Amino acid sequence: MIIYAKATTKLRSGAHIGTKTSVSSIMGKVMLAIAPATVFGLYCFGWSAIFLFIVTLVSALFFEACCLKLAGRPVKATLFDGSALLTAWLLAMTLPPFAPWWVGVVGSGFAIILGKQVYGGLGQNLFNPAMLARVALLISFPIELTTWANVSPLFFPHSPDIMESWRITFSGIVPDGMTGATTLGYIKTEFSQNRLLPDILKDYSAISNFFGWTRGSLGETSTLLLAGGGVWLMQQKIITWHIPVSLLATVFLLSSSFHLADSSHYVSPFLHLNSQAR
Amino acid sequence: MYVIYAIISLTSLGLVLGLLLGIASKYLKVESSPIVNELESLLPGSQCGQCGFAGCRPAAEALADGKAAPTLCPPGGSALVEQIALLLGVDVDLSTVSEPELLVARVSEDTCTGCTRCFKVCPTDAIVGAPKQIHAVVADACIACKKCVEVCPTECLQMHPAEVTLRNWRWEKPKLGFTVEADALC
Amino acid sequence: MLRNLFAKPRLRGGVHAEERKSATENSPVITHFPLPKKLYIPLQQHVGKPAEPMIKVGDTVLKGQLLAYSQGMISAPVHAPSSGLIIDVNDYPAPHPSALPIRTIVLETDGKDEWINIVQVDDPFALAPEEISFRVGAAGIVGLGGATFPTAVKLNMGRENQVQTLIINGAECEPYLTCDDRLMQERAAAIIDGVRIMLHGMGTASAVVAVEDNKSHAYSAMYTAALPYPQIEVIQIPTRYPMGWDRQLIRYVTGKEIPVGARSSELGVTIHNVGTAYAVHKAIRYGQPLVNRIVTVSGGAVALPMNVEVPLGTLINELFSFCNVNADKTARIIMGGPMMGDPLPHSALPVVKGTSGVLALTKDELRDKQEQPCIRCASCITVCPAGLRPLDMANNIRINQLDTAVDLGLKDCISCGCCSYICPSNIPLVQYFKYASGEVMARQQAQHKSEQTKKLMDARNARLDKIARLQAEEERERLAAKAERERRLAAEAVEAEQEVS
Repeated sequence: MIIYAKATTKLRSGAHIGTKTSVSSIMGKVMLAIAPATVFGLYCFGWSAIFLFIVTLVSALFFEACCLKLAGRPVKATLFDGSALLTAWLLAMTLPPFAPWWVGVVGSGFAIILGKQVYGGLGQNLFNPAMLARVALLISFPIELTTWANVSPLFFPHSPDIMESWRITFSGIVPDGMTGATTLGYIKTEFSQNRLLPDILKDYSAISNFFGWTRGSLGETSTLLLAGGGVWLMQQKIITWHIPVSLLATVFLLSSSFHLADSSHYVSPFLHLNSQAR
Repeated sequence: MYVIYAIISLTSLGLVLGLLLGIASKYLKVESSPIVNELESLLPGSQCGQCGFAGCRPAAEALADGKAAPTLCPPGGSALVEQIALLLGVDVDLSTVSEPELLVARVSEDTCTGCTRCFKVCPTDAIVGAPKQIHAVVADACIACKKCVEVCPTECLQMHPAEVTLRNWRWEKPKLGFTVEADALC
Repeated sequence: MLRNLFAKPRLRGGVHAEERKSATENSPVITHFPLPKKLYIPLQQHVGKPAEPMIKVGDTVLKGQLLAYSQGMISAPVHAPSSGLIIDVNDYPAPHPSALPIRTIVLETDGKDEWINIVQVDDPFALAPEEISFRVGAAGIVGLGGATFPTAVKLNMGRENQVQTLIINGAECEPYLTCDDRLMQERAAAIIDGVRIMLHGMGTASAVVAVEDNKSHAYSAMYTAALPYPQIEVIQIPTRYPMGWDRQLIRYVTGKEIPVGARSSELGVTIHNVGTAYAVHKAIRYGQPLVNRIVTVSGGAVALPMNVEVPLGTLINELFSFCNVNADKTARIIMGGPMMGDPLPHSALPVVKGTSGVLALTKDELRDKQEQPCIRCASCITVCPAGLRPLDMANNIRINQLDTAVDLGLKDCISCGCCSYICPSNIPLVQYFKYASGEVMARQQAQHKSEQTKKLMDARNARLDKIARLQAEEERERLAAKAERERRLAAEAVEAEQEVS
């Protein structure tokens, strides 16, 4: 019978070589993939969007640093591994561009503290923190989260200038005439006035929706740029095709069946794919 | 105004449901079978007394009654603590438990007088030898209770760490946050 | 075509590891390695019971002479790699990460390298199949791909199970290693001859030689050598670590999946390495036992990386000085490949039958950064060739839930290292699994020991009780006898009194 004994060794087993991929590189690639859509969105919605974006990111880093310090984990090493930054980036992309600054801060705080750190930190979260925060914001502050800005690109004559944008973001006052509804929201309100689809969609331009020249969240207006980023991520093997394709295919199938049944009340699947299904 | 109503209703719902759960846990509790026997089978059975009880069975009874902590048995190490904690369903802090150093008694043949006091006290008959002849410890049977070391008049019996051989060498658990420096010579 | 779309893929998991073979794959094998002064030959270089020495210190031996005979069913003998004097049979450090002692024969070479009188066989195919296995066993041949399972036992199993296909593993999927590649390029005819002998030894009809497609020269050499023999087919397989794993290879070549717990011979297939086939050729045709092997020496710290044929028992530091290894740049010495190989604490350890390569890697080539939290990216699950869930197992092991890890399939892990390779958080997954397997076994042994202890203590208590009982009985008898005597005395006294009166 062998005696149960244990010895220690300094040497390490397992594969001695490995890929160069790291957590930071994965986060970096995802950020690179959503960067074009974000930059486009920031350009489309001007200074307010930029301020909101920066506030969200900075507050996320701040909350992450606080949580790491409280948990006794090394702050410097893990703060900039890209995970908090990416969470905040994703959250910011889903916020309306003229939302006040505190929406960004509360959202980041919720995402980082209650969506990630409370579960145990990186990798232990049950839900996607950014989406969790977005849902929490939507049900807590419905008005601020459904005020969609008009497309008012940077440096265009009728867009708010930097001082006005500062006031929009930091004092929460949105001047009239700068907001409106998104495509689907508009269609819904028009239905209540008993108009039919072909009539409502007279001014709808599929091309400008595809490129992103439309109202929506800060970073999710451009179908083209988002789809491009997704394809690049698949090529880099960061994500696989199964989930995105099945999601989009389901939207397509369901909306087609309704559209074919009653095309005056149900929009075509392509409009769906081009708008909120982004 | 609606917010006040919402807060009141959800809070009272929470309180009522919590109260119901508390009542259920007290009056609908399921009695489980005695776990003293299972606890006893987990313990090493060497009756060494390091836990402060008179033997492994009293220790098991104390554990079942909740009078002793799962960390009571030093020879068992952290593995035993976990198994006991799992069985009892309690939480345990493993940071205070140290791994036991596995010891085996060994007779130093130069100084053994053959007095036979040691094998009379060995609980597993691990010492072999005859009067006036050198005794030896059968390492496989030794449970490191140290009774023989106490009675030996010439102190020729000492505890030594159990030998690690190629057959029982094992890899260490990777430590979280460890770095490995250049670790070889040429 | 639709059926192909839904057919199960023939490859599971695996990674495209960087090959890093360019340093050694194009130069021929060096055969003029200077004969070392001392050879350290461990008695266990194989799976199974160690061999038992039959020589003693002071004996003079010739090259190829039997030094230790095999013990039991699963074992292999050990032969002298060169001629010389036996100077020690004792414990020396083993080529193992712990460098713990192993019984070793130390041979001081006399420089003559004189072979023992070996008997050549003109026609191996006239020998009976059992004779072939016997000779292979007597030559000490074991699986030279690194598994070191005694080849004779495998041939016997193949013959008993009547396998239909012999697969010859020329995959060599580990990075850096090119010994099999060069062997195939330079000695293809000998390998094919060995394959034919093995086929005869098992009574199998056909063989398939599988060569990874990154070894095109080796493939053409083997293909040409096998042309005259239609029963031997040489095919190319995709380059993907771990193609050389026997279950992966069998699944790719035959489509059969060996279930857990079953052996491949039970499904009619058996695998041998090309190096083993070469050794069989030398043993049967020329009567030469296994005394040397080709070893790849490579790595960033090696100035002259090469494949070199060395006698078994050569110390690695001699090999390193021959290849000009820079000790300062060496961050780790690995025996084997970088994915599954064992790290060695120092280089004063011998080359053994299973040493396919020795690597001296620099810090840049290694992957030794700090472990970060698991981000549940599931790359490890995608690459696991055994279809396990490394991330779940490792997360359970980290919190000491070893039973859950075992339920998830810990025992089926082959430690191939694909998961550790791909993990972006640098988690040493394979070390977790190796630790956990060791810990589970240790706990089972501790449990076993507890039961044994109880039995011993019960036996002792029973013995003491019996002694006490016997003593008590004797005491009672003695008392009874004493009482009896007293009664008799009293009765006699009464009688005497009555007579007097």
